[in-house]
Amino acid sequence: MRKEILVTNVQRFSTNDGPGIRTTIFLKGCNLKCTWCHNPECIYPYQEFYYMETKCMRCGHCSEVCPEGAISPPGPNGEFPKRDRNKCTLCIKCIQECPYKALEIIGKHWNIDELMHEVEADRIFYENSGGGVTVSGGDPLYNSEFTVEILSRAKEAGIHTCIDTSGFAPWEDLEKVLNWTDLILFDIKSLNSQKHKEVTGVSNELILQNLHKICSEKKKIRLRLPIIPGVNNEVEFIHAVTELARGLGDAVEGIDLLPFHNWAMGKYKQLDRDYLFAEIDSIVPEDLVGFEEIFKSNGYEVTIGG
Amino acid sequence: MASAAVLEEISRDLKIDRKGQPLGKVMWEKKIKEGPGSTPRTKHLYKRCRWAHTAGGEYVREDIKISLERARLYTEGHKANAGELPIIIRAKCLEHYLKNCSIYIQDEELIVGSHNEYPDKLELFPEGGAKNMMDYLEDDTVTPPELYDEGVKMVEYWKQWSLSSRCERYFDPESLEKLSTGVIGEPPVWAHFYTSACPPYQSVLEDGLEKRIKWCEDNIKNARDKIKTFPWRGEENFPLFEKIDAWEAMNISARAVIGWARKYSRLARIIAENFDLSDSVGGAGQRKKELLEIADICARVPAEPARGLKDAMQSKWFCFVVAQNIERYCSGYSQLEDNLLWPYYKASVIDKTAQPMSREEAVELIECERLKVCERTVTKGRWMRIIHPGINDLHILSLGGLDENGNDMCTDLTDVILEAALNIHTNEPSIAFKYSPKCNEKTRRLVYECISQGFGFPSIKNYEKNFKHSMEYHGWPPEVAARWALVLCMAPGATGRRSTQHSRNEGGSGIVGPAVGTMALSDGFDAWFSNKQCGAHTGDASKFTWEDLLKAVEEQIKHNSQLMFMNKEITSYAENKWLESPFLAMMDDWNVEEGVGAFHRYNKPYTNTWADYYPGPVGVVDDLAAIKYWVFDKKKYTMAQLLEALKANWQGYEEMRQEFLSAPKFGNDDDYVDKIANWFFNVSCDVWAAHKMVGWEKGATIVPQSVSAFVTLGSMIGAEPFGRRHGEPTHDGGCSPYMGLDKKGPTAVLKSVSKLPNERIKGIQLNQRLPVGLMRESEKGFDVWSAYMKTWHDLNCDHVQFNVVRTEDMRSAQKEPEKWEHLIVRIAGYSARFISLSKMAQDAVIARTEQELG
Repeated sequence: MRKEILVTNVQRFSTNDGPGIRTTIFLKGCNLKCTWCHNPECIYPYQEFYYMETKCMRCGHCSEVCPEGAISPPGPNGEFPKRDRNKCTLCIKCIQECPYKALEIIGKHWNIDELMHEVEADRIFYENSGGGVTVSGGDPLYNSEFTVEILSRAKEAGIHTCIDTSGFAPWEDLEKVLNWTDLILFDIKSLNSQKHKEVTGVSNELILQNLHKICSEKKKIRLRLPIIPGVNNEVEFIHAVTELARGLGDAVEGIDLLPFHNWAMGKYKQLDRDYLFAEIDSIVPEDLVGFEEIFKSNGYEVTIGG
Repeated sequence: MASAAVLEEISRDLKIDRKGQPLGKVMWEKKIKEGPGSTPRTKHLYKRCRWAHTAGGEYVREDIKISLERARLYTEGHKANAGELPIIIRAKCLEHYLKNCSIYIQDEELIVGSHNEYPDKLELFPEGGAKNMMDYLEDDTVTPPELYDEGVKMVEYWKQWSLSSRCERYFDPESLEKLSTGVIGEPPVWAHFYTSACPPYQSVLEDGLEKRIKWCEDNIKNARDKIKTFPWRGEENFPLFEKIDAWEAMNISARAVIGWARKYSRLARIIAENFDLSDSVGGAGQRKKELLEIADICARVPAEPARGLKDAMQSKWFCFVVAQNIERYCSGYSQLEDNLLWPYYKASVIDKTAQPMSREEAVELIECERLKVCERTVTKGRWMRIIHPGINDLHILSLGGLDENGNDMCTDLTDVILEAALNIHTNEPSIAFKYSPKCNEKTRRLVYECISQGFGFPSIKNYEKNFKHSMEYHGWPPEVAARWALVLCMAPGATGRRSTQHSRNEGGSGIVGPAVGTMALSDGFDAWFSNKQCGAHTGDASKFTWEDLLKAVEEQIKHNSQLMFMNKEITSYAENKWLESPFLAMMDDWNVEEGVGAFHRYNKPYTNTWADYYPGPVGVVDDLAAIKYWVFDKKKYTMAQLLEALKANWQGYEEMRQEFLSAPKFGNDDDYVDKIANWFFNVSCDVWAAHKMVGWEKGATIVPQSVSAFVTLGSMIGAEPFGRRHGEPTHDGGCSPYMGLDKKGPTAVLKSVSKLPNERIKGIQLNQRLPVGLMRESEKGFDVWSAYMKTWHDLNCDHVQFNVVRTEDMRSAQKEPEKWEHLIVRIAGYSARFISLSKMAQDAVIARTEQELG
């Protein structure tokens, strides 16, 4: 087993990733490439870096130290330096050398003991709020071995466990994780296989198979529906999910509607990536009241925002 | 889990139709649409409210100008009674003022009485000294030219009689100079004439002044009988002379107050019977009825006991105006209001046995009180005005808690006061809630809703922790220890008939936290603001070892606190001798029993808080941690290099500054720095405990908190090793992490705070931010907050207050202040109107809150 894992953030006082006050561990690496992804920094399983224009003083030092010549120097008219991420080998010399900390490494290697120390620190908050630890990402199943390690250690320490997953993984991997998981936050993005492939890079058959298997094993799940303009922001999707949920039986504890927001735009810019949703307005929670009603009238406990 | 029934009940009381949405969100939107106020009267009064706030030390509204009425009448009184005993002079001056001052009643008011010539006028206190008075006179934004010469003549007259001249004579020039810089501590009371008091209202509400006058007369008669009793007993009789003088002075003041209140009675009747009242919001007939009722109330109180809620509110207000605005200017609005007013509320609203009224009318009356407080004009020294931006003064009332048997003391009145605060949306008076998990859910939910609206109050104080501290440290009996109320922002004092703070000298004043760190690095010399030797000589820091550095910090704490204690006791001595407050004394049973002035210090039954203000001490902790990390552990830099960088205000040392900024910081649940914090707070407590003040053999304690000094001190405190540049705000609060440097969110902050020696500290201020989305716009906010609060309580933390405000709202308010009149933010010990803050303070608040939580 790997000794260390790449983590972008260990977020304490997390209140939207399962019940109560939680600590959410964001692992780097995901099998899906959702076009709207809110955590684009978590997609790839290797270290990357942010470039923050607001901190950059255009001194050109990054360009001078880059051994690959991947950074063009700042221009004479105040142009900012430009990075060619394809040439970049992630040697991180520019990050170490930037005097203004305008470049920031994404992802830190944690070993299991460090992670558990951080998780244990808020035990008193979990006990008072019915909270615990959530493994998220990226996708916890991308790193399923390490996820098992975290969850099993937490369970043994008497801490409630949760995963937030796309559900896309071989059943053998998922099964091992489930043994140590109290609650599964299971994303449903589209029930149309072709559409699913189009917007996430993979089709949804495996995901739905896994979902049914989980539920037949009497694990507790919440269905999490990111509501994305142009993808699934339509009442047909809600009706289809209601049908799906009905077929899953008692396992479904509730449904979370997660309205699309474009706050991730800054992160895309700092990653030098294009963002397809840059011009698309966020969905405000009030817009989802109609969807919420549909689920409620079918007897489900629903939240907007998790 | 939150009870749906409680939520429904609150929504009904507040007349909010939630339509299935979170209550906080609907309330917020309703207020933006309709404006604050639950009735046409309070809506009107809010709209025309004469805010008396200051920002950057200046009064925000141009209409605020000085008047010399009080100064003139006090000067006349002083001259006319030359040669009298000081305490009698004080009483006679008050009497002369109250007999001859202007009075007014404003449209729609239900509570009447003011301390100034006209609305918006600032009254001055020439007996304080030349410094503060001249600062006002020289400021042509507040002093009309025609008043200047007369004012200067008064200053001349008072020069030899003022509190300043009485105090300064005891200091050597060097100490005076250090004190006057404001760099190492709060300037002296005699310089800025800032003090605070908590009048024991209960005695006046229950007895009425006439009964107390009779009590003093009986005491005088008994004393005279005693000295006629054979045989002569000099040891017993001699002290009686001074007591007779004190009782005489109390009675002069109390009679004058009754007469002054009755002037309001006559004025109300005159207006009712002679004026055209047709433009009143409730119509002429209604207003006439109200004015006649006011006339009736003011004829009876504060002379007689209060019968119902209207009497009690009016009597309390009259006492507040005299004791804290006329006799002396004193900061604060200290009271356990729900407990104090409960018998009268019960009589009027529940039993309907006296002055019967509906619950809605009671809510309206509390709204009126809140607006009245907002209009209070205050003349305190500039240093204090600057550290109190966005308000007119510190007004903090306390609510809630348990009784000595552990029963919930929250009543329907507690809820009414919180509902009124939700309705009228003023930042003042601020509210402190005595939190216990045993307080009922409805009240806790109302506390939560106030916080969710972004008021910043109630600030939460741990009831059990402070109950225990009051018994163990102060030795108060359980029934007194349970009924504590905050004296100003943070420190719990006893309430009741004989147990209140009379001046700022026993508790109050304070030293500047970060200065003890920066002075240790500069051999006590301040090169950034005063260019003076402010601190102790502790040697050349470039040669320090880690142990030397800690020793130097300790020496600085000793030196600065010595100056503060010396000054406090000198002031106390002079106030007791020359500047007594006989009306304040008259309100306190112990003073009446003993025949001593309000500032008498010996043998008090319930002593003061013995606690001193300590702004931003976490700065020293982060400084020490950064030095330990880079100089003594990593050995990447030397002390000499660090001092060079600090001298240059980090200019040209940006890379190094970034490294020092990245050193471990308090508030991240990191033992490396949290251990240093524990050391620093323990040493501070040790030093305080070593100082013994008159009447307190246990030694004093600290109240780490900043009010808004964190902005002001930014220009006074030089560059700091943790990465702060001169000019940037210092640490705020008492144990709050530096803005933006708490990287792990609110749970980690609480964990760090729980490692401090909290049981040794009287009160310690923690500022936290919680997301608007969670608190105001989600259904689960109350549950999450309750779990957070339970943990805070389990960890035995002392205090916490919350900012729930959106950064983008604050930025919009900077651009279009007229649209954001209602926006309130928590500053430190109080809540401020955002648009009344100086730009620098606004930016500091924005920077502090910018760190988004997920």
